[in-house]
Amino acid sequence: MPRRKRRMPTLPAKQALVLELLAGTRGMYGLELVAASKRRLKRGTIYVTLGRMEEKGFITSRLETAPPETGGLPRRIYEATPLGRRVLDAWSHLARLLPEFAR
Amino acid sequence: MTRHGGQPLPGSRLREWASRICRATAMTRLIDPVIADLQSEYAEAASRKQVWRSRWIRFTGYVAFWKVIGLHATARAWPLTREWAAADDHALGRTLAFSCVATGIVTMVLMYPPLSQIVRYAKDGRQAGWLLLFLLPQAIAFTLPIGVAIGIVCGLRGRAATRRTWRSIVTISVVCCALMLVTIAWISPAGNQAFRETLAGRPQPKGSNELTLGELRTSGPRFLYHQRWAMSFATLALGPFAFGLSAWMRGRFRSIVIGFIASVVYFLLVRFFFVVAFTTPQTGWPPPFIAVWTPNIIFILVTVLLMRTRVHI
Repeated sequence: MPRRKRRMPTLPAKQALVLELLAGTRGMYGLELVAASKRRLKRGTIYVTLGRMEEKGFITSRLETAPPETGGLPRRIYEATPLGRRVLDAWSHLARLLPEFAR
Repeated sequence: MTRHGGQPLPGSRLREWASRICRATAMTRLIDPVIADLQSEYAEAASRKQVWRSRWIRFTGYVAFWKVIGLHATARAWPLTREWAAADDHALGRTLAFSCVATGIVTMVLMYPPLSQIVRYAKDGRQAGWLLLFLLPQAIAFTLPIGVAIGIVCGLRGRAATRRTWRSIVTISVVCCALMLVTIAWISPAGNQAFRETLAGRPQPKGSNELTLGELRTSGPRFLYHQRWAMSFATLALGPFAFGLSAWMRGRFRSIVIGFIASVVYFLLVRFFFVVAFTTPQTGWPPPFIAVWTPNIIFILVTVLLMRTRVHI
């Protein structure tokens, strides 16, 4: 059986930022997050980050029905889960205690 | 569904293409959100008649799509390569490393005798360097198959002969076969011609060894044309043979020595059948095509024999 290294859990800066942005809202879609982040999140990488966070259970998503006049695919709205909020709280707390570690 | 003003909405075709290669989860989590945002933003700009803005949105959306595809492919491929390496007990990596080292050593050994001649005839060190470089492709045509064979027996030493290892070895052999073809068909003749012209100091007419594969097909000796093709497949004959040998001898040290001797025997056979093909016009038999392919056929038959008798992969 492969040996797994025990590591201190970390929250990457981008994921922390996404959780911060989502924490105070009722949901945002990818490009809204990019716009709200003031260029700290990139359009090409935001979806991969959101996908990973959804896998971890930090966020959840639902489909928004597209307006009939535009057609196209429905947008995906992302929301922070209770787990995501707790992780963000814990991470913020850790960042205050150990700023060098959480950077 | 995805039409806007008679035109397909941007990203529809990309999505269709992505759906063929990506899993359903990747489509839901990555591809569809990119396309959905692109289409919504584009439709919004188009409805406001912002032509340039809609073009810009389309462009940035496409860039984002390819970035997502690239990141997703990298994320998927990285564990796969690690799994592959672990599953074949790092045989592929070991084989490649040993093949490179063995090819380098055999090339140096093979280049040493002409080096002393070159130093004698060259005007200065710079010319000697160029002459040596022009001879290198000719040497590699011999040393690469030997290096690959030794690399395989060294790389597989102490490793189990599995189907995955077999596939790795065949992949290496096929890639080296393509390299050999390029070297023998084009690089080596060009190197030979450059060598002769540099040494003579003036343009020289091409001999049969300086003709490329295409030129040989139309104007050169027929047996030489077939021989170049046959030589290109040397790694494909020696690679699987080395695998069979290693598995047959269960990776013992002796397999390395035998692998080296077999490679040398292969080239002795190549030389022998080259002479046979050369003399075919006088003797009338065997046809040059058969003669030059005989060493490859012999080694493939021996490989099949080794695999059938001892190897259970």
